[in-house]
Amino acid sequence: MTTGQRIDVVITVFVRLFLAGVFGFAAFMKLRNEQAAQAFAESIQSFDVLSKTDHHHVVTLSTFAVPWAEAICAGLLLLGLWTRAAAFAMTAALGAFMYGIYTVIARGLVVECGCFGDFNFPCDHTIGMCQMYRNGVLAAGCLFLLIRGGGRFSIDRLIAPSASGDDEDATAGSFGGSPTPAATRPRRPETDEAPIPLDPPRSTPLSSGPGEGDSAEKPSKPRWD
Amino acid sequence: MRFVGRVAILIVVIVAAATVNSMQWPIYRDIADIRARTGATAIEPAPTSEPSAEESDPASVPDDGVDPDAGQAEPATAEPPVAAVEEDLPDYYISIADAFELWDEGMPFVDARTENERVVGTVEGAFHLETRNFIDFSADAILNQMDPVFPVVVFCGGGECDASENVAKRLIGWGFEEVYIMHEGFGAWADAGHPTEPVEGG
Repeated sequence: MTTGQRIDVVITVFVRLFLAGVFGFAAFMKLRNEQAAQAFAESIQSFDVLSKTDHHHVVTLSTFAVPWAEAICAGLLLLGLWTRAAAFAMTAALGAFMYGIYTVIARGLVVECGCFGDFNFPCDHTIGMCQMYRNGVLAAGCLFLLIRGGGRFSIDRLIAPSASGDDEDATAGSFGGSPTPAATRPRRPETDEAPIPLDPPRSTPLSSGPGEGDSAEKPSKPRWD
Repeated sequence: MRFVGRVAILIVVIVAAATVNSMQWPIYRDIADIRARTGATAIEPAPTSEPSAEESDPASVPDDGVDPDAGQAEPATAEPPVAAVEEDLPDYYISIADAFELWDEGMPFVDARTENERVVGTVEGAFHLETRNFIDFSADAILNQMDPVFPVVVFCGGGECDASENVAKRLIGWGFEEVYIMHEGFGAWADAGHPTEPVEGG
């Protein structure tokens, strides 16, 4: 492993653990108790993107879907399992957050963030450009993992069918995964007896007659000349 | 395709978890919602006079008033019904004058503003409760000093202030029977010359 590869491995692991920590903390702060969930719902309402009366069910679902997405993706990023899928989900979520923050700033609303519950660092509790930059940094980390995968110390690598290559599904830059030679090699069907002529019984002595043993067992078998 | 499948599985799992969780923890849209869902009775009509001084003429109760308890909050003076009715505001919104009467009777006031907003002072004797105090249960010590059978008045800075509504929702959830919002805010209270006090450390 070259020095460049070592640095690459360290950066990938660091980004994974950092994002897992941030998202896990955010999820915990929103799902600590019922009051925390209610407070997050009020934050979503105050963004005024969803109508308070008409879209209450959407607000309710978002109230729980956002922290659960953060929690599940944090766990996956921590383990390095399904890294790309988790990174994609969080990139999409961060994109939605940034859109919400943009609309709030554009309309000049004063809105409580609720991003980390009642914990406010490094940004103030009120929505501003700081939250936009912070989410931009997080989204950049997610995009990095989306492109590079979980890296060397991940379960993705552990369970990858192929020992070679950079990542389970990182090879050839495809999200669909790489074809593995062992899995895709055409196999001889179990019931196929056609190759028998290519593999004559060893027990047949050369001195014995040409159809004595073999043809007696399989008389109807066509033979290749 | 494996990537797309995994993302789809993730979405399904997240939505399922969120749905199950939302059934355990109801999210209340607003005060009307929590009153309807918890079976809390409608708030008494806003008082326009000293309620417990004497039995007053029941005919002067506003037509929209639902007042099963005769000892509570009956308008008795010649003052017209509160402005809330005319402006089609919720029945739990009360004017500065009504709020002052409640204050004068010693009813608790709750300041829902943030520390930054409180530097200008607060209503004399008001408790300070924000949404976050309910999350970390630091509100319990304050709420235990208050008797839920008495009216409580919540206020913030006035205007489009969701903080009062959010705190009021939690007070109803706690068990308070009469929660009012002084929607004109602390500024109007101070302008009216009612008693204020500086905030500690403000």
